[in-house]
Amino acid sequence: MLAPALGALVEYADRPLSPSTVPGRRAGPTIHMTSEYLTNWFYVWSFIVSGAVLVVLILLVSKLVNPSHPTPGKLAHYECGIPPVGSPWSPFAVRYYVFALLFLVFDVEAVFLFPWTLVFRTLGTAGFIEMMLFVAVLVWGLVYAWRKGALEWA
Amino acid sequence: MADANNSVLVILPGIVIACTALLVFMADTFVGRRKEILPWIAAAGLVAAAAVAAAQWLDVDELGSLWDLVTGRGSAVFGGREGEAGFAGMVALDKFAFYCTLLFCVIGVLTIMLSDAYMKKRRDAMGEFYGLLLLVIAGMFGMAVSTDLIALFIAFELMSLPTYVLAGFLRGDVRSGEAAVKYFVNGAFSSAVLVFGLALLYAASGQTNYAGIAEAMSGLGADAESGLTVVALVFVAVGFGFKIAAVPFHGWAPDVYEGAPTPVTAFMSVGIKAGAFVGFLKLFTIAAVGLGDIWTAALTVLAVLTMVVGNALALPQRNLKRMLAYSSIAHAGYLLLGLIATGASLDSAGSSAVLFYLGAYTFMNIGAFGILVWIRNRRAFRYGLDEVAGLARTMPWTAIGMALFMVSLTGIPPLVGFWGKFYLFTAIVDAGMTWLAIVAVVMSAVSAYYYLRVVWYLYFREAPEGAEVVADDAGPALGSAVAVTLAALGVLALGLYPSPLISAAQGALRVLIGG
Amino acid sequence: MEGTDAMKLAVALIVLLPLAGFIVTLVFGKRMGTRAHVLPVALVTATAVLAVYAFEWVFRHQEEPFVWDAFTWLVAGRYEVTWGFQVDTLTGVMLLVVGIIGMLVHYYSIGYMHGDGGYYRFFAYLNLFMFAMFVLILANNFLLLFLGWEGVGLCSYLLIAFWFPKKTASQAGKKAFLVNRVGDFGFTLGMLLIFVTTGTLQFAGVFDKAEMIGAGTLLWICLLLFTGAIGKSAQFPLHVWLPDAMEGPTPVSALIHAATMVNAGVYMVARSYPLFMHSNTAMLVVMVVGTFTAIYAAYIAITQNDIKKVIAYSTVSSLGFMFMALGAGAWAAGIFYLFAHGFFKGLLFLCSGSVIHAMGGEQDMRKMGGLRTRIPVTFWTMMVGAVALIGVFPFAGFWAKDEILFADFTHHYYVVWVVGVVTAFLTAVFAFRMMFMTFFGESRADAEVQAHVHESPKVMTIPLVLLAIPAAALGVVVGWPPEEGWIHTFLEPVFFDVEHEEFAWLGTGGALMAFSLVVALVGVYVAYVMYLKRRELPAQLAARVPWAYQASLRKMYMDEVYEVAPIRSTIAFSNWLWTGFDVLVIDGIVNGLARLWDWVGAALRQLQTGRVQNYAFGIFAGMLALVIVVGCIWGV
Repeated sequence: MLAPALGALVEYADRPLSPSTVPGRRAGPTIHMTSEYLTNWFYVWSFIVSGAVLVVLILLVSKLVNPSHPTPGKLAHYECGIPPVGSPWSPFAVRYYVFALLFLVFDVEAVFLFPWTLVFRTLGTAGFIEMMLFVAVLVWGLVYAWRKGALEWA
Repeated sequence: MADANNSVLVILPGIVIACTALLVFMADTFVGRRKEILPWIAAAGLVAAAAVAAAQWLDVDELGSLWDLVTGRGSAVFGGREGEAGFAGMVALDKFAFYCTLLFCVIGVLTIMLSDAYMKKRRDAMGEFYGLLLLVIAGMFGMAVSTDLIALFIAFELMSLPTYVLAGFLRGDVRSGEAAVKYFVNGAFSSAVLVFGLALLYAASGQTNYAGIAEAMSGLGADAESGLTVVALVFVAVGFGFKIAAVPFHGWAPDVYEGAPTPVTAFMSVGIKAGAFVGFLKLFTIAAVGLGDIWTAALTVLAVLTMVVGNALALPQRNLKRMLAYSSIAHAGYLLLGLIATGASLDSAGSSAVLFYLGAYTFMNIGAFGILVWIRNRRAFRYGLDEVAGLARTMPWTAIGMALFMVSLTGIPPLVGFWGKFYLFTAIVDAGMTWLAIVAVVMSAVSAYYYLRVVWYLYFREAPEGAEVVADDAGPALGSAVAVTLAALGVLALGLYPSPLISAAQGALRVLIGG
Repeated sequence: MEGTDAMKLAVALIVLLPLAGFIVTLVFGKRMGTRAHVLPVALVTATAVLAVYAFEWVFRHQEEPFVWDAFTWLVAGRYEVTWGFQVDTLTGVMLLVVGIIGMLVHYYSIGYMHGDGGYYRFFAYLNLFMFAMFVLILANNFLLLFLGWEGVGLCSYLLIAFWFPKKTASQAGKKAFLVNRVGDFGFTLGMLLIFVTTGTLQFAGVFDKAEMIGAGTLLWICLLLFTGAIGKSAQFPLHVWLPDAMEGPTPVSALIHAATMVNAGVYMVARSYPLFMHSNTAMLVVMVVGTFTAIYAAYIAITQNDIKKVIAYSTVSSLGFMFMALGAGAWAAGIFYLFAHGFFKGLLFLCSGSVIHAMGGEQDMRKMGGLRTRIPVTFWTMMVGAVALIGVFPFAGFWAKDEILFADFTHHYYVVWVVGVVTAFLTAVFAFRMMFMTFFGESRADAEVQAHVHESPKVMTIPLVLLAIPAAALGVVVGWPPEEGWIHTFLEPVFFDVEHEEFAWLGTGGALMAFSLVVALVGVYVAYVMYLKRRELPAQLAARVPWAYQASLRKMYMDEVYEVAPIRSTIAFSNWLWTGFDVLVIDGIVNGLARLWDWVGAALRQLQTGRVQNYAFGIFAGMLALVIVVGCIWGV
């Protein structure tokens, strides 16, 4: 019962785009394309759903099948370290946070710089100036952080 | 690909503001104890940005006489050029953006003045405060110039993120911190909803450019009004509704408005609202112009709820700051009427009424908050209604100012608040939604109760014990005095003679509607 | 292009200078102390010069009124209200009256108000009044006219109640304010009706469409406008405020309550001539009200003992005369009378002020007498005013009054004519009763007061002399020859198409003129006999017909009538409203609503938990609901 329906759906999804819709894309997708777009996701969704079902099924089956006779000894940690002491919500130095932030800034800078080098010639002078401005703003931020004392530990 | 130089010119006012922000941050680390200079730098930057924006549009040849400029006759005020697009159509500086830029700069300068006494007590944080304020205004500018979903979202976030920090500016104060966290959590949530809505809009149209979306949608014909677009527009409306504190997305507003420092509250209730309104006004009226039925329906629900709940919540408040916070929600409801009118009739009258109201609201609300700041600088004051009883005797000028702002907020002629409501309500009636206007008028009548009750307390109640005026140890707050005076003059002058502002607002919209 | 730019500047300055004077004087006047008058007087002088200039301009361009929409004031929907000005010949006449008399009164006030605690305040208000009055007469639309109209009303209120610590003064101010509200309400309705009917409030636009308005609507418009005029120009039955307004300082009485503001009603009706012209019924109403008021007020004036009250009732009577003229179709004659009246009545008031000044504040004529030689300048100038008022050849009042009576007669309103003649007679009697009681006979004042009687300072007497000149000569200059005088041709562009009788010296015209002159002289003689020669006569007469005497003395019981009819019944009605209607119904509704709102507010407050999760949930739920609602609406 399910198979023919799936077959029809797959067939529908795989159909070639009608010639009329291809040049007409300029103005955006049509209502057909919306359906097709959703159909393309059919595989993804069926994958997700079947995956989830499988997991639940396995856990459920094992829960039903295995015997359960718990004793304190069985429930104790077994070769997995010692029982924790104190709250896990311990504070940590906020300075780490500042460093993470600064790292992020330069991380992003690097992410932009690499592709820029690849097309450096094509972009020409304007591209160079723009990137220099970008870097300058980041340097400005670094100087600011420096002046504010964010780089000093202690 | 647009000419790079041209693109830079298009966002030049925004660049000026953002660079001033960077300058303020940096100057903060160099000036040592002489931090009084920072607000001046910030204000100068805003003035410069306004001047740039004005200069870009005051085409000398088409300006006409100075008399025309003063009297607001015709469109000569804004010169005659069409809007210029930049960055591949991501932004456009048109008359609309020009009006908004000037408005934002006014809001910014008034806020800076308002905060002077406040910041004098927190000198260490001056750099951050003014820098962040400028960044928010840069974001608001972005909202006004964006013509693309991506640019809109960037501007939206640029406007939002520093506000979270500003709301939590009183680091030692629990309520301020709580306000910031609440605002941030809810804000992040609504941003997510917004970006989801924008993505769906893109999914439905295949375009990110406003004009492109409109074109794609009209290409779809009747199919455009699909479930997808409904969900997309409603999500966008939710993101927008959050920023303007429309009911039921308003939960954060009273807590945040109460917890945040008063100058910040004044700024948020006016500036953020203005920024959100202009940004989404542009989005709805250009990109979704053909889908007016859908977003109008969504906004109508929001407007009715917002007006009713906002006013109902403001009624029992005996804390002035909180009362103003709730009434600010109600005003967002009135403002929505303008958008709805435009969506329903495709006539720009409603949108220009929104622009007018934003200007009017700037003066009266910043003025009202400014009075609170002013009183607090002069004596012990916890914003209680009982504390202002009999103020007319101890601080007569302050009382006059407060009465003026309250009456204007109620919408009684001849003050500017009346004209604001008048244009909004006329627009909605002309759009054929008289019932909505009736709701609005009834709600205005309800608002008269809590606004005029303040006036009653000011003039007809005896002052409580210990209400003596004491000079502030930080010296007189000249800035707040000037800001409040300017706001009062604005309320009066524009009330007696509103036509320059309304013709400016109308001129700004002539280009916008329908792309 | 000669003229119009200069005119724009002139008109703008005419309006702006007094306004600037008001603001500056109000803010800085206190510090100026006794020199507070310098700026306001200087500005008003400049304004008067500009007013004369504007008059001169319109004199040279009679056919083409100067119209200037200075700027857009408000935009309401598709309708724009402008600060639009217009100077035509009618405005020109008013400009002269307001400008010149206003200036002279300012100078006079320097002396009169000298040493008063509110010196600067007085000049500030006077300047504000000048501003509002100029706006009123220069307006080219009803709304701006109404702005000026309310402005002069406000100033009138402020100046009547100028000595507000005095209870009667503040009461009088309040009375003027309230009574005028009744008239203004009518005026507002009239404006609304005009706007609804014609879609505009511009004079030109409205008058162009006057012919197309249906007769019934037009009648309503005219009657409502006239209601406003009744209030402002103190016509029966809304005249009650004007005599009480004498509580204000005398220069105010002269400027506002004789020469300018009270004429605003006449001016407005004259301005709306194209409307009234098409409604005979409205014209009839105007004439009847005016005629009745004229004789009624003159009758009251005969027995009043307060010198200012006499002149006040005389003013009411004169205003009635003007409306009589307008209603009878003698438009130009009515404005002519207004023109002349402004000068001689202003003069009379200023003279009475000078008398009061000399008598150390005494206003009761029974305690005066014999002042002729003590204050000669005041006496002679007041004599000119009185003679002009009663219409003795060749003084100003003669020409104007006789043109009105002539028009009544030739338009076959014989009853009106008879009433007019009787009024003229009564006017002569009370005017000379006043003169005789004040200036002739022996003095009846206390010795102490007598010792202090002195002529007023130059700054007061010079304006008197300057006003006496037009009061004497104006009639001949502008009114000669009768019915064809300069004033007629000058006003021709405004009052077009008016029927116009030929005046024949050796016909009806001459005969009527001679007759009314005789009547006036007989009146003077009667006054002479009764109040100078045989002073027991009035008392005997009063004893013979006590009802007639009492009726006049008690001002025809109008205040009592108001007390009983509208005021008492209003109080009774409002009592009923209060106990019956208000407490039960309105309070019920209001309290119920308030309680409802309180409840709603409290309920909604519960949602305001302060918990961030709840708010986020609110957003989420709202979003879902919105999707569903909008989705349902659009069925998708």
